[in-house]
Amino acid sequence: MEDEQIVALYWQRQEAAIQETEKKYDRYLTKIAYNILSDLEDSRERVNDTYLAAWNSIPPHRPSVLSAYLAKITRRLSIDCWRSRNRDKRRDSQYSISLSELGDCVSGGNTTEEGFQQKLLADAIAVYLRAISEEARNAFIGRYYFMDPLKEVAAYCGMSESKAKSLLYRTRLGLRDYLIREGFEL
Amino acid sequence: MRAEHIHDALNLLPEDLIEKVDRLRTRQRMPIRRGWRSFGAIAACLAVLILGAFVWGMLPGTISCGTDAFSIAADQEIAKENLAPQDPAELDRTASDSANGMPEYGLTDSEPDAYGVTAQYIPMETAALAIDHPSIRIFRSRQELEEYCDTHELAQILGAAAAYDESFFSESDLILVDLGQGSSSIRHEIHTLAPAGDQTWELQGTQTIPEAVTLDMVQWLALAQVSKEVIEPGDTVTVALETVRE
Repeated sequence: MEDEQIVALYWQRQEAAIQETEKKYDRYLTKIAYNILSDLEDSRERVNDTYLAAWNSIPPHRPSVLSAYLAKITRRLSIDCWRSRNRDKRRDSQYSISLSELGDCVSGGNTTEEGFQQKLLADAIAVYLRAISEEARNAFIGRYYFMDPLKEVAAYCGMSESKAKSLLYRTRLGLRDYLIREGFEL
Repeated sequence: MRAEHIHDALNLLPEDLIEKVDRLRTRQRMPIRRGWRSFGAIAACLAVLILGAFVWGMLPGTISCGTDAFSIAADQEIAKENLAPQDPAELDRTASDSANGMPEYGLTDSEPDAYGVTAQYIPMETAALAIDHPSIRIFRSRQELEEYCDTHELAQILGAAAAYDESFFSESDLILVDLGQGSSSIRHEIHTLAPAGDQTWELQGTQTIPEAVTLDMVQWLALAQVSKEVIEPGDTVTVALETVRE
């Protein structure tokens, strides 16, 4: 089924939308989650959460590229899961306990200011990525957005692993310089 | 600013940037274009090979000609005349040959240096990477194989392994080898199982990487057949593939 038809099902509030999404994107989304979590069970849970999040957000959203929209949700949920998992691992340390106690002094959630800063940072990264070569852009997004292993990135970008590694290194340095020039404190 | 902030910001990247890379990484296998010149070149190569095989057969001291002769000669060099037959029917035949005073293959009293191995190779979609399984797994019965494939949702393997029924497992074991990721243009050949120390075996072979490969990604798996009495419970099996670049 085409993406437009699936999105239309979401707008019509038909549960078949989730089934069609699962049929078409389950493996794709599981791979994204697995790249972050390295755990099949957790990855499947995050993919299921993705379907729920898509159900809750379409409408009002009408994604033009459904795969990218779903990938973004899976990525965010998986990173949140990864952080929560690591936080649990550190639960017993005194540092972790003190951090938790100090959490009473701050809001804890994302403030408007933080959200704004994050958007500014994302815009700056997007400008930088559009300015560099297509090859470097593809490798950077593949490695740091989709978090594909270096070997895979090199393969689908059509280069050797060593070239991909050095290209990514130069791209990271370039991004650092660009962000400093744009006034970000690194 | 921490690296986490960069990761969070990446989630807000415009979709057009993401979509382009996404198309690249999930691109379907591209068919290799072959013009009539390519077919002509292939036909010419085949003609040279056939002629070469014929000439080889005419040379004095050669047992026979054809591809079987080449593969037997190569295997014998590795296995030093101690190849274990893979086919149960072959085992029966060698046993009866021995009784008739014919030469014996694979049934010698001393431990052989190496065994010949036949294998089939299965390209899995990249998403199969999400499956957490060991790189090598030995199956000693059809039931074990089915249970493993069901647990890990490897229906594709089960489809490819339909021929491995209980009668096969009564004579042979099956080794599932995860050969890693790569282009579907990469070719693999596992040909030998050699002892590599105490209770350790090494599957040996080659992986051939052409100069130009398709940009798709597959997870290559191999199903290698070995005679049942070779690998005992508790033995360890490793894989060593020599990389050949064309």
